Amino acid sequence: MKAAVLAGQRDQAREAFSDLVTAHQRHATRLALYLLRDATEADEAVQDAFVKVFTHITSYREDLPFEAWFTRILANTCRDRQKARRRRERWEVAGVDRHPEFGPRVEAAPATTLNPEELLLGDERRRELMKAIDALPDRQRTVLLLCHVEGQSPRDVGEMTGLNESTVRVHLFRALRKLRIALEGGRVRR
Amino acid sequence: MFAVKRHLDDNALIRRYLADRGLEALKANDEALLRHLVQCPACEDRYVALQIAFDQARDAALADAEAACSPDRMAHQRDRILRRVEAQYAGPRVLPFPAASQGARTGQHPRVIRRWVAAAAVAGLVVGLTAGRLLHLGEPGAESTARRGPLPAASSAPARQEPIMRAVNVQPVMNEDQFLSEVELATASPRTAELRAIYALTLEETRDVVRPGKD
Repeated sequence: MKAAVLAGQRDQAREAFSDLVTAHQRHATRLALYLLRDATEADEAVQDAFVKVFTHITSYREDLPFEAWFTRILANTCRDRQKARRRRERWEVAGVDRHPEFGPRVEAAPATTLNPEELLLGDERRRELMKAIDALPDRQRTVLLLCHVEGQSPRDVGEMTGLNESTVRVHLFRALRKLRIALEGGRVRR
Repeated sequence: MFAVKRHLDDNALIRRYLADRGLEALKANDEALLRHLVQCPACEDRYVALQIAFDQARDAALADAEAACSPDRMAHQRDRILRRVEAQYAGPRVLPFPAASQGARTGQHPRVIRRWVAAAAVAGLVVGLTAGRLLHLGEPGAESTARRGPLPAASSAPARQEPIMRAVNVQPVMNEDQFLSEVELATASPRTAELRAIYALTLEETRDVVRPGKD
């Protein structure tokens, strides 16, 4: 895509960019969702990140993996949005919950797209697990989702969240411990 | 032996889980942990249960996030991204001023109007100069003035004065007495009819007033 943009081959660049969006948008949306916990904001952050990619594609170094470059752009975009949201919330009327957990839930994925593991996992059990994850402190939850769910390394998560790598490891460990306690407690109660 | 005697706590199991997933490096003293897990069925069972619970949590979180990534939503997102990029490719769009006429928006029209205005101004100037010149020529004596052209320079002045001197109606030469009497006559009585009334009111009156004083 970079070569096409540099050569001024507009149609080819557009086509390559479209393929790039298709390949990365799902993962990007998930990451943005973990970081922002709001579906609409995550959607907008992904859009902004892709537009930035297109705008600054000429500064991309092709010897580095695109994924890392793009993830950094996306994380920075999400952090900017988080800051803006915090500023906004300071001026909003207290007591109004504008951001429910994970924001407005979009339509559930159709049953046909569920893999066998998900089919085995009952709705009740899934709700219980999500409740335990949502009960975690913000940083621990974000680190858990990025490292444990998305498989990002602590170093990458540190760059994405602005935390030290060792701090990320500590948050991850504590998040798993709390999750373990929460799940144990739920199992005992049942 | 330590590894056999004591069961592992949750922290040790979590460390093992993180190490298995490449998220944490086991330390040198964790060798005992690994040995214990192999030798202790109870701890092995606990570790498997922990592993299943964490994996289920991961799958649940992934499914929850995937619910936000429906095909329709992704297609809509991709369309919006491509539209935004396309708009950026097209460059900034200049919005016309709302009150401007259609002709003014095109950019061609003002140039044509400006040309017409300039042409009209030049034509008006030419017509005005020509008409002025023609009118001036129609006046008596204007021809000689017009022919004369620009004002003469200082060096050529004497040569040009000759015809003017000739044109003046010169009286026959009078003697000195005649000239003086003419002057006296001129100063004694105003020849201008309009001034006579004023003269009668002022000078004559003054003479009358002064005379008795002198007497």
